[in-house]
Amino acid sequence: MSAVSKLDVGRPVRTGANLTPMIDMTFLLVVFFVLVSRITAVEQVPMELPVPRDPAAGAADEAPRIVVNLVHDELADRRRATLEQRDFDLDVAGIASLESEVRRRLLETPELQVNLRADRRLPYQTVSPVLEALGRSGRGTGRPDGVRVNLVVIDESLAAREEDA
Amino acid sequence: MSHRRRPSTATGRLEKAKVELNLTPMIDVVFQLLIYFLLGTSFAVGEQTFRLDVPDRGESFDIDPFELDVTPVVVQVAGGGRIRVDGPWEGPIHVDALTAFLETRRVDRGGLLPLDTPVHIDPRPDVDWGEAVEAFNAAVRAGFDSVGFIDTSSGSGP
Repeated sequence: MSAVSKLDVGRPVRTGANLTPMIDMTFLLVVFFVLVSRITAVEQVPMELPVPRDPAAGAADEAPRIVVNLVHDELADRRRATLEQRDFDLDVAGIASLESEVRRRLLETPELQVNLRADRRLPYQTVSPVLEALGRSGRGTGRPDGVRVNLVVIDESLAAREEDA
Repeated sequence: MSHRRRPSTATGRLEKAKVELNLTPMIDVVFQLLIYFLLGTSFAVGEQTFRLDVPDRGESFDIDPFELDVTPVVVQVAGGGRIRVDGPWEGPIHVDALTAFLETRRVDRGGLLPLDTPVHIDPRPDVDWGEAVEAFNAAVRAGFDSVGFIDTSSGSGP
């Protein structure tokens, strides 16, 4: 940036913008979005969630939670549950392992809730053992009402409004 | 932009003026944008949750011997939207009619079922999860407090 000084005609005045704060903020924004998108990618595995008509579901509350994902795969023997970045086979050993992992986390965080994201194309016989394992995972954690599980669905009207916004 | 004129020197000649950009408003705006994105960004577009309490029936718990068992309403989901509601009534055969049917059975709507009557959704093993959730949603929409999936291992409800 340059200008001509009115005080000393003929000599250009060197002006400069201090860009340091802007660069600081830009870096902060970049770090924020990188971190959030990584957390989101771990929790929200792409899948086709159930889309009930006129859903009576509500927004999740702010309680601490873990997310169990059940992704659809055409091959039944490749179906797995994921908890954060760990895979659990949907056989007897894998479900027992998932149960003990959820129990460990319930003991660490008493108010923990479990969000279950399951692909709508999965047969119920695939989801049912996971629901039962989540129920058993509360055993020994001192929860008289059992484990709080949140079934995640898509509200199409809400999704359309959010995308418009 | 501000122009500052330094005091004149001993020779009486003015020094070179220093020109600066005031970046404070820009930083203010950037902070505002940061807060806006922090509060407004939703990465789970359209996602909602149903509350589902899943007690462990295998764990021993105290039972009140004078408390009567409440007979649950069992909704069997057969796939393709077909359902069957067990009980002494002519139940709906399609999930679209389930909400209206359950609403008319509520005790506050002239029916016989208290709002805390357990409603157990019992999908067939090969039914898609999406259809099972559709029936679950219909029962929740009817206003019942205790809706869950039947426990296939014990045959009891949630």
